[in-house]
Amino acid sequence: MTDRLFTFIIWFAVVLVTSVLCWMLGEVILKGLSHLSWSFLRDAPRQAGRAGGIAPILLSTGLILAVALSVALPFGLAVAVWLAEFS
Amino acid sequence: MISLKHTIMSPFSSADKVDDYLSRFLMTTAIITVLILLMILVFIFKEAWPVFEEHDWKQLLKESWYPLEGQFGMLSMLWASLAVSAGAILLATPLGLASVIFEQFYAPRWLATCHRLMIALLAGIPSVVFGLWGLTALVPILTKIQPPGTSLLAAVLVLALMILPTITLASGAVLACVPRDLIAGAAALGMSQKSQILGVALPAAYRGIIGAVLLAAARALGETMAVLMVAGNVVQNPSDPFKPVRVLTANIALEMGYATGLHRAGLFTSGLILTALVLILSWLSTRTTRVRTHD
Repeated sequence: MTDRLFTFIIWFAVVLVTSVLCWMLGEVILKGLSHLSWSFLRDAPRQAGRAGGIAPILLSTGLILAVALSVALPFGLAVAVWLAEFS
Repeated sequence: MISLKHTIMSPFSSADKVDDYLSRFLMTTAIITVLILLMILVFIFKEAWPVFEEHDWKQLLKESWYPLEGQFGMLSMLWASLAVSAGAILLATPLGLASVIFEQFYAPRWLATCHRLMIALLAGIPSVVFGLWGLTALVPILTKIQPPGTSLLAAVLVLALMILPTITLASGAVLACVPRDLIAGAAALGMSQKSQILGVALPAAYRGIIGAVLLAAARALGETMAVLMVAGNVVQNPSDPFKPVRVLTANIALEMGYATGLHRAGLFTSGLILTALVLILSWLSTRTTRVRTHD
């Protein structure tokens, strides 16, 4: 009996977590997808972000990523190799 | 004899030299990395120093945060940080462990793979998206129960969801290392699956699980954006789960934009306290996880 209960609790917890994740993803996708279009990705924002798109923001995100990676990648790799092979 | 050794060794010695150069070069990068970290710490100390210079440090442990009048009491925000993190840990640990047990003992293989992918997906979602979801989906529901909705409870719920993958992934790795022999032995003794898990597998992995929880606590304490979006950000002691609170991280993010002089130093002091707490938790986490190999 307690064994059944335990199995039930485990399944319940997993279903709970899964449904919350689905709820969140669903919320984001449902509310976001209708506004997503090619021009949204390609245009600059207008009227202080009330209209237009997100092209410059997308670009700057990519540039920040590029700078961060170009610093972190060589250092991270070098330190990892040193830790694994020499230290 | 010596010449023989020399001829044998010579091809290697040049390789040794290359190795030596490489080792030195790599060690330099490692030292630079450590120096950068130290410089960040020194910088935070330096920027926070005026507060310690002009005030008694005990003043930081008061509850009155009026930075423009020179009162930097951070106690309520510290309590709020600890309450939010503790709540998230209490909620996420059972759920995370249940996920791990499900993955390793109950789910058929295909379902376990799906579940692992889902947890990885959850780990990859940016914190601001958690905050957005909390603000647009969770807070309205809490508002219906008791306004204002943005509250300690909202922060705990969102944060629990955020640290769940950390607990699941870290303790899952530990639980997978528990020798199958142990569990097979327990099964041979006629123990039920529940007893195998609770009586054998979890105790064998408990150090690693504690390490995972500490790591998650460090993440929870340092989380800023999602908590800032749903916690309401009123400086007060966390007394009621439905009342808004302001955590230390959110305090820095909220006020850094316009802070100058001593106020700015006060924010760096909150940063200092946070960094210290997170460092201690991470250190404890690696300490508990390290030792113990099963064989």
